[in-house]
Amino acid sequence: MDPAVRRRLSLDVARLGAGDRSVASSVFTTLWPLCLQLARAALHNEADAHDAAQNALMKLFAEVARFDPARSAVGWALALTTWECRTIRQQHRRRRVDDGADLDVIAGAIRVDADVIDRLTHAADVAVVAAAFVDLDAGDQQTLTDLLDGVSAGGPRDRKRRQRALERLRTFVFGSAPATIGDDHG
Amino acid sequence: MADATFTAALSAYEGGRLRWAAPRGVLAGLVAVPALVAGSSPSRALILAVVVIAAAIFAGWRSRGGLLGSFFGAALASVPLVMGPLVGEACACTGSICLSLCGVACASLSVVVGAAAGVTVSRLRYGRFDFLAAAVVAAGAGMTLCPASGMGSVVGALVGVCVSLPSAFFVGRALSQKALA
Repeated sequence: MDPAVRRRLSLDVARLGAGDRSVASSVFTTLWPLCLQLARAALHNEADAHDAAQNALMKLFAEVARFDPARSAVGWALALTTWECRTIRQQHRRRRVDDGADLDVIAGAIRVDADVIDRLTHAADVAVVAAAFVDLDAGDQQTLTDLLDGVSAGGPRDRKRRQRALERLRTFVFGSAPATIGDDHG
Repeated sequence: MADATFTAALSAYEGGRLRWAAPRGVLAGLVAVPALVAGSSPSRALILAVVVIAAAIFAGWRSRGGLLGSFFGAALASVPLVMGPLVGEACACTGSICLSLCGVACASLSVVVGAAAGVTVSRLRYGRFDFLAAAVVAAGAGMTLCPASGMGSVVGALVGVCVSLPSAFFVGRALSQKALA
């Protein structure tokens, strides 16, 4: 972004903070695409990105009376967006775990290939695994489907691919380092 | 989507302004404390406090200048409220001219308040009208208690601020323009 535009935006946000509502529209139209772009890059999901950008701008507008004109308005908006992206990611993680806890009974009633599932999670929770499965990319989903269908591995390369797909699934189930998912399909 | 978000952001903005102004507006109500302590008319002082607080919150919600104006208005109203009981209606006579000491004291103190208000309003980039309107409302409401302190004090306070505020405003504006140049 052009430094002059940045400065102009900071002045407009300061005016908005002082109570000048006439600049609200221009502040919003400048910041909205920036926040949305950052949220898209961080979340890889259109709906989540809209939620994060919307929450960030609502917080900015709600707190703008406290804005310090010496600070950068763009930096503030992007920091808020980053925080909202983090919050949404944490919500997704928690939801996965919560859904799994609610479906413990169902999970226990369903017979699952213990060899695959028991190694993935202590709870042997089908719902958690299924939710994580959806988040995997198509290649990993196909590899794991073949494994569950009993299709035998063709060779060392297939076995390695299965191992990596299971590792990614494990990462999703335990909710850590999702950004590494899908880097490699063997 | 963006339109709906903009509407939601504006609602959040108005709510945020109100949350920002509310605790600060309550401070302006401190103008009623001298009247409450002096005890000449506690019920009137209470009504005054409510009016000043409501006006300050409204002015602060509108703009930052409005909130500052209500502070200065409350400060101006406090001058005769404080000085009246302190000095009383004593007179100092020189020859055939007698001056109310309270009036003189209030005028002197109000010069300081007016000068500070003038400098502040000259530095405001937005909300000067809000500043003046809120100051007039808060000062007017506060001075309804002043007849108990003597009309001389009210007149003195008004004269003091009317002299100092415009001059401080023009000086402040000239200095800031010089600094920009």
